[in-house]
Amino acid sequence: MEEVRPTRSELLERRAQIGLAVQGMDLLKQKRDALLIEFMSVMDETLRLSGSLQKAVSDAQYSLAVAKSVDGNVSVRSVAMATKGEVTIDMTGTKIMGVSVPVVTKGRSPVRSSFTRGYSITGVSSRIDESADRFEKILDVIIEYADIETRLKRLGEEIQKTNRRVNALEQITVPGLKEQVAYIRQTLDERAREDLFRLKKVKKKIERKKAAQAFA
Amino acid sequence: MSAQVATKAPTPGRDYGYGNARVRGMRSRLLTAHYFDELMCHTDISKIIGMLIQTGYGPDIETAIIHGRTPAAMDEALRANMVENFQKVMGFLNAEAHTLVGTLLGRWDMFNVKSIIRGKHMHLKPEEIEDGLYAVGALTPTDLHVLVGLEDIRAVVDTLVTWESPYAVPLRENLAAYGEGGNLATLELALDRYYFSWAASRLTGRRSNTVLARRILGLQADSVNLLTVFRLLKSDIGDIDPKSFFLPGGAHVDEALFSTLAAMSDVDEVLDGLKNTPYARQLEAVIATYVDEGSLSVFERALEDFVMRKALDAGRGDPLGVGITIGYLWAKQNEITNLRIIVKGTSVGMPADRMRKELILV
Repeated sequence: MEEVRPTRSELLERRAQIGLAVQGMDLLKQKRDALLIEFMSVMDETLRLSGSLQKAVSDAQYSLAVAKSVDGNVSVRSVAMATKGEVTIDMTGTKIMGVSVPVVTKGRSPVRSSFTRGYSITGVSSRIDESADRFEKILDVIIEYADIETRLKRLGEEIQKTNRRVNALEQITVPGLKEQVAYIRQTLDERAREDLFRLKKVKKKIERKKAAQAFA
Repeated sequence: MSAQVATKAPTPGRDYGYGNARVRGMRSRLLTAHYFDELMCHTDISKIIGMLIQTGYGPDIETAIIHGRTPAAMDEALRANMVENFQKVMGFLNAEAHTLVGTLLGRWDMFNVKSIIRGKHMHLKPEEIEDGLYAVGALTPTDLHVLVGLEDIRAVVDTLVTWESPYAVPLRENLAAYGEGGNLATLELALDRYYFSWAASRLTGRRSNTVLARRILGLQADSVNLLTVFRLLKSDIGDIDPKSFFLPGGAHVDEALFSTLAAMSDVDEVLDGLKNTPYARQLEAVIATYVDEGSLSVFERALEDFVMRKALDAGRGDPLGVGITIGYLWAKQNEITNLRIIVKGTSVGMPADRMRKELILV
């Protein structure tokens, strides 16, 4: 235990500290609950998007397999050489319950029409075209998913941090302060008892002295 | 084409006896529908490879699977086999058949030229580009090797001009437009339009063989044009004139019909607009599948099926005509596509029913 001066002022100070710690703990618990509510709603959205992403990937893979099987690897590769593009995203930030989270938004949609991919549609099969379309849709979902997943991660980290603080207050700080209060109180009580005993002794001694003088 | 290539000159004249006898021999070795059913019974690609090694594909497969029994290796083997067979057939055709079939196979030249300019556009290494070419047209492997080794698109176009290749014309005309916007689609569209127009102009005349080749070319042009119409229904092309995507030389879909169809708002209207053409029945037969899947590839496969059957029918006509060769080449290409579907489909665990839907069995 930390060295404590067993004084009344120290006792009052420790009591005030306990009050503050409990108040802080309650506030942190409230923050944690609010973050959890937010976390759960973000979690639902994340699960929904994760499902969409899985479906988009599986559709795209299947579509690519069909394109490769009917048109051949060579045709798919040749068309892939004709098309290039870039994905633009905007990064901003917002605060949820005081937690800074990045916001990722799509700049221009990565999903393009068959007429804007860079190859001429008159020489490309619709299977390859659809495959390209589905892979572009994956990009679209990935950007949304990146935004929501980062938000979920940040909220999760904040909940963990808040939880650690609540636990520290609940398990260490408050019990420690209470222990100190108990120690101070015990010491003060003992000191008071000693004083009382001493006073009684002195009083008895005085009384004995007075009795001896009177007797003499 | 290029000066350094020594190509075998076709037999002069119009004697189809020898060539067609050879082609018929090759046709007899094509795989049957029953064989494809047997292949689809297997769920393991190794077993399929094992079966195919016993066929005419054996030598090509054995060479390709040295690095592993993968679908990519099989794709490579099938491509090598197709190139080899097409070159072999072209080698014993007479002069007339050589011109007619060579014109139809010009689409492979177009594919190669496009692949080369795409590779140059992306600054790929020559070997990366060369891996994806089919040397089955007028451009020989040596020609393609030379083109692939050139520095950029301009050099490719200049070389084609020097060789007096027909494909140089649209490329040279549109090179400036490509240089301004860097839009490869401009060059590709010009190539496609030019090829069909050039091929149609080469296939004029009243001889039955020419008429037959012209009909096959027309069906191919129609097929691409109809697919473009369906794509236009799904896209917003802004101020671009839909007619700019029209490929000339069609058999049943002329520019006026194309414009009318392109202005329509849904698939039903387009099918209604096609009621006087042979495509209506084909496309109506798959409309329910299209509604289920929402994929244009349903229509594309139906059109490919139609063109394929017409090309195969050509092979059942005049025994001393070019139809035998055309029918064989289309059947061979179809066989290779079917094998690719089975190999790739099996490797990704595609159900046999789904594979069967993609196959064109004749």
